[in-house]
Amino acid sequence: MKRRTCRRREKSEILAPTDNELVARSKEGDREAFQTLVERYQRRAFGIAMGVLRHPEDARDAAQNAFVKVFRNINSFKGESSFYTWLYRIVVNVCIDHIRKHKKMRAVEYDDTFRRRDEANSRTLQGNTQALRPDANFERTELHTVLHKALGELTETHRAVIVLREVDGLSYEEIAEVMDCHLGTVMSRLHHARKNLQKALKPYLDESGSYLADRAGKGVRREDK
Amino acid sequence: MSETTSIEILSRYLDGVMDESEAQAFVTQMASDSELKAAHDTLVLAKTLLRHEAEKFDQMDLSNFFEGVEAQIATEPAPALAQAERSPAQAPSSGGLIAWWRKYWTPIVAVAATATMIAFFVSKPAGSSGESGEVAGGAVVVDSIQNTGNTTVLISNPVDDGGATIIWLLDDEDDEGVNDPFSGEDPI
Repeated sequence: MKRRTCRRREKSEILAPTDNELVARSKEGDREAFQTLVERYQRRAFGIAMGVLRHPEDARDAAQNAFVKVFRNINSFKGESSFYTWLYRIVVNVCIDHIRKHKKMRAVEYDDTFRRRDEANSRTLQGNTQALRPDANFERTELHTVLHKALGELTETHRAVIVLREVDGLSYEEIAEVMDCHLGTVMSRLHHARKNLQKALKPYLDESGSYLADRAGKGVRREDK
Repeated sequence: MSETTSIEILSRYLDGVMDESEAQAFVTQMASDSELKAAHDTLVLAKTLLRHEAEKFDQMDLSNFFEGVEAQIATEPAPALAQAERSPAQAPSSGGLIAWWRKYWTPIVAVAATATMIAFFVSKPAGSSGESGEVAGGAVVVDSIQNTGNTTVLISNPVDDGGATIIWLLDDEDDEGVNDPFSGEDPI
């Protein structure tokens, strides 16, 4: 007897409503549809907010406030662009407003959550008398510290552009739509952000550029083109 | 190559904007330019670190995230436009009608009042007041003209509803408006 297997992944993909379907139902007051939208994009919204705000609590609040704005203004979404670019624009604007309102960067110092997570997996030196271990985890932690500091020195708009490009993989056109600016402005901000990151990370590479790539752990590796 | 130029070219290469021949030429150039190669490697490193950082963000606890959103919108009604866009075939609830009226009564009343005033003045019968002497539509029908000396008199016969005769006096030699028909003096 032949055994027939059900391709459940494909079936779930077929049944999953599209963003436009969920938006249409949300406009009619379907709270479950709106909840589905939130759950579908809450991670990405939070990730963008973290990239810009560099603080978990602020990022969570910003992401939630963004979805509240989505709910209140969902009728203004006409579907001319994708839902996620519209959502990203709201998230970025909420984050920028948050920074300008408070006029400070709370996460200029190294974020404790990152430190505690890395401590759980490695013996990174944290104010104790243990000798430094030149292992990959330590180098990765130090590099993250450098990255964190370099990002903190960028403006919120430059941070948003570099996060949207490098983490979310948005195209120049999509970033322009999210940031509501011209394509040239996107490229200019991207170049500026990359130039600053390059300056910050340059001392951590030797002349060949391969030192850290060879010694670092899986969190730091060269991309093969 | 200036630093700015190298960053711009590197960005185009890393973002996959270059065509195949241009990318190949860049790779060849990078093989012989150690500074360009170092710049490339640092940007690749930055991207890797950012993505590794994003992976950490993905592990952060977002439980009860929607509940936080819902707490802020729990007391808010469904988007108002959704109610306004409801199809005519559906019978709107009385609560919805009342809410709609409360929102739009001001412009509706203003438009209705303006339309009423316009209709009133446009449809006002000719000669009803005896002041303007206009017939319906604003045109004055001159039934006869009499010339007496330097005075010209235009006579319009009464309209069907018994309105008063309108007499217009035109004096070509009087530029000071002495014989102005609206002066109140009966020229005849």
